[in-house]
Amino acid sequence: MKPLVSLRVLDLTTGNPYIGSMFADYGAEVIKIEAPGAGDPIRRRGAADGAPEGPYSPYYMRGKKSVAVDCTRPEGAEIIRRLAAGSDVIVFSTAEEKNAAYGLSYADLKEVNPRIVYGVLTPFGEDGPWKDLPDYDLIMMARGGLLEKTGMPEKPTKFGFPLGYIYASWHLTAGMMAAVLRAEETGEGMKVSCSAWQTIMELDDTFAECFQALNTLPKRIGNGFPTTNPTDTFKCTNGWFSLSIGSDKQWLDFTHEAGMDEKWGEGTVYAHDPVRSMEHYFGELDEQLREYFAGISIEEADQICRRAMVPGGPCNTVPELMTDEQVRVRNMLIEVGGVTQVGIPAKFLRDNENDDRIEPAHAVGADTEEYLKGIQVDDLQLQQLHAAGVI
Amino acid sequence: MATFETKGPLKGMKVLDFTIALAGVYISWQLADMGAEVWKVERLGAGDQARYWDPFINGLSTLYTAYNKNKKSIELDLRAPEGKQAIYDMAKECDIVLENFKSGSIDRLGLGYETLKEINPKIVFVSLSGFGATGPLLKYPCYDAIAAARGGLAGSNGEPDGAPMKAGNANCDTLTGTHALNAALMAVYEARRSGKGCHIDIGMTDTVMVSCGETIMDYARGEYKGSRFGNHDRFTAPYGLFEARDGWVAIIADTEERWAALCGALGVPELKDDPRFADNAARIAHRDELAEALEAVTIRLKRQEAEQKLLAAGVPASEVLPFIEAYTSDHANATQATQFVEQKKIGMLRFYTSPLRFNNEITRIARGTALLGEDTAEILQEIGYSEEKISQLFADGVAASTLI
Repeated sequence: MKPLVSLRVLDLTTGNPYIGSMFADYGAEVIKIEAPGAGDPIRRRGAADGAPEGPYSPYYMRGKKSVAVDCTRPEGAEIIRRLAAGSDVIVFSTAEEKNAAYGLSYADLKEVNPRIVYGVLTPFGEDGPWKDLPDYDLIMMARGGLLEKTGMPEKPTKFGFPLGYIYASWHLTAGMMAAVLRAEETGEGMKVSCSAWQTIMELDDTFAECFQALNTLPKRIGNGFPTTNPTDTFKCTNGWFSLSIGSDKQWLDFTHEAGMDEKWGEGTVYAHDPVRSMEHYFGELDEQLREYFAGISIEEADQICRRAMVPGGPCNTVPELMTDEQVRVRNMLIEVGGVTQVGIPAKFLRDNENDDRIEPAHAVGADTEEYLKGIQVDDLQLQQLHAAGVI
Repeated sequence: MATFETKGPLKGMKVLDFTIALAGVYISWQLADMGAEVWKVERLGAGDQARYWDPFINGLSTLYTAYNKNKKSIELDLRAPEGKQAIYDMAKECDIVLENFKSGSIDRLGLGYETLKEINPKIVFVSLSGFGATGPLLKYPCYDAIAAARGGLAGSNGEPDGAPMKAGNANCDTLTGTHALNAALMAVYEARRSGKGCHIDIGMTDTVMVSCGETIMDYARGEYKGSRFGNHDRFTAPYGLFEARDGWVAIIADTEERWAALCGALGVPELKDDPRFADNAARIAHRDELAEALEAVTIRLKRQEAEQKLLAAGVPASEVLPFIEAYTSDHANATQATQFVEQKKIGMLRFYTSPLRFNNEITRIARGTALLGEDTAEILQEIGYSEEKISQLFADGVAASTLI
């Protein structure tokens, strides 16, 4: 089942595909509004010099229609207002203040469609001293604390993907869905605005609480976790393995299946917490665990954890995911227009039917004519707008 | 008379919430922040396991309070027939049911989707789990770190020759919770059209595969060059983290103008004329040498100093703020990122507010976290139980208000 088939979304975001994709992956009609010519800069991510699009464009644009309109021009903004009249949702990755300069404020759009939900994602919110800082995931993450606390003690680790913008985009889409539900009851839309920075702050699950309760802060501890030990990633003979022990029982079951009862099991110093807590963890137990895992393969480690029924698993990368049976059963690799892409995680089951199909990406402006004709722009006007570079 | 009222677009929506720990609890946290009335069903006498997670103030877990503010707690024995009946009566009033028990447990309790949809055909039933409800890993336990490992998230971060790196918080829990939150609201939207709810099956390991969105495509077209690329972007340079005298600074020069401006601001005009760094393609080809050359300068600057020099020259940059500096920043204060709330057993406690603004208004936290069973009687009243009946349920040990 695709839950959003009757929802129409005008997507005016740039450089951030995740908002439109959340709607598009689940069946909404997403009309991506892009600059005429090059389109959304995300299309060029990873592109060779001179190439119009990069290799990831089919993923970032999947399931979306493309209408090329220059919204900064008055004629372009007028087209957007007319498209908005027939849409449920419009979303921007710029503050309302900036959109207002083109006649695309919430008030402007409410006038043509009182039910419309007006979404805004900004890196730092629409007010406060940081609101005009540069709009990059990495800059926002640098100020949110999470980046500084991720990584080994000697240096922070940058995320290899735009984690902050994914989180914030999904937050905004949820807020917008809530507003859509409200609009259906009241006939009145609302503006929904999300600060990516505050989203990342809010996800903090230990720092603020440890600060308040213990007057101390956890340290940057790599793959460890301050409250469940041992949680860490170990190098086996043929790859990395993650272990996450959450209780004394799990630890004892693990040591038993690992054949290490004598050194780590009941009757030894490690049997019961808090001895396995952080200060020991980076001490001799950690070293012993490293040595132990260095002598076995990730498959052996996996079998030990399965027999013990404790949380453990290989650190998969793409080659492993490609052949992973769990990934296959879950349909987490799908074909979109003949290209293998990551699948969609929420399975909407009704009568045991799920729907993982997604339409391939459209080229920049592929749907311009169709949508403009839909708002009664005739052929002559189309030619004029085209000649003037508005579409 | 309700003890408190939430506000927001979901006001009027009711949520039957069986979730424990973090991932599922995050969904109801967000629903409550948006105004839904969340009825958190807790195990008689014990409650959510997260009530026992460090750290504590006056015996109450502050972690637990952070996850469960704005919700109501009802304490029931779900094995007793009268306890199950109370759930059925609650389900009649609810739009959404949330659960993250071990696979199949809720069905065995007689409270699964197949049962509840007979009572309320429009109900949206969300089952969140580590690996989803199918597949060979179904029966195995999964924590955040394992989802990060198996779903490729950890493998996407860190140096190519170093260890995979998970996030410094329980990221897979909350990322999945956020996705499931969307799914739940989408299904309510659909149920209002079709008159039929549905069962949503969502797994943490599946959800975090979004981290591999690009590398999966690399692999599929025969261009796979690894899964993680260290502290610098692989398509633009300079774009990454550089060491400063007192920490780290993020620097992005993604155009030739910004590269020139960077060389000026950091006082290294010779790099601008260095053929190894002539254009982006050359800088990517010499990414490590470039990082070394720039770090030789940034290491002598304080992180804030480096940031200010670069921002003044129009180069995107930011010092990497330690948590405490972000938490206590002027920006956090000015945007009311946190709010002090009266928390039972503790007193004033500081919580994060929702990052969402509806019509530019901040969503205020209406109440701190409920003690175990704090709202048992109130919820039973709300579903129409008489005082006599409620007293009987308490007397029979089916309902309780342990208040721990």
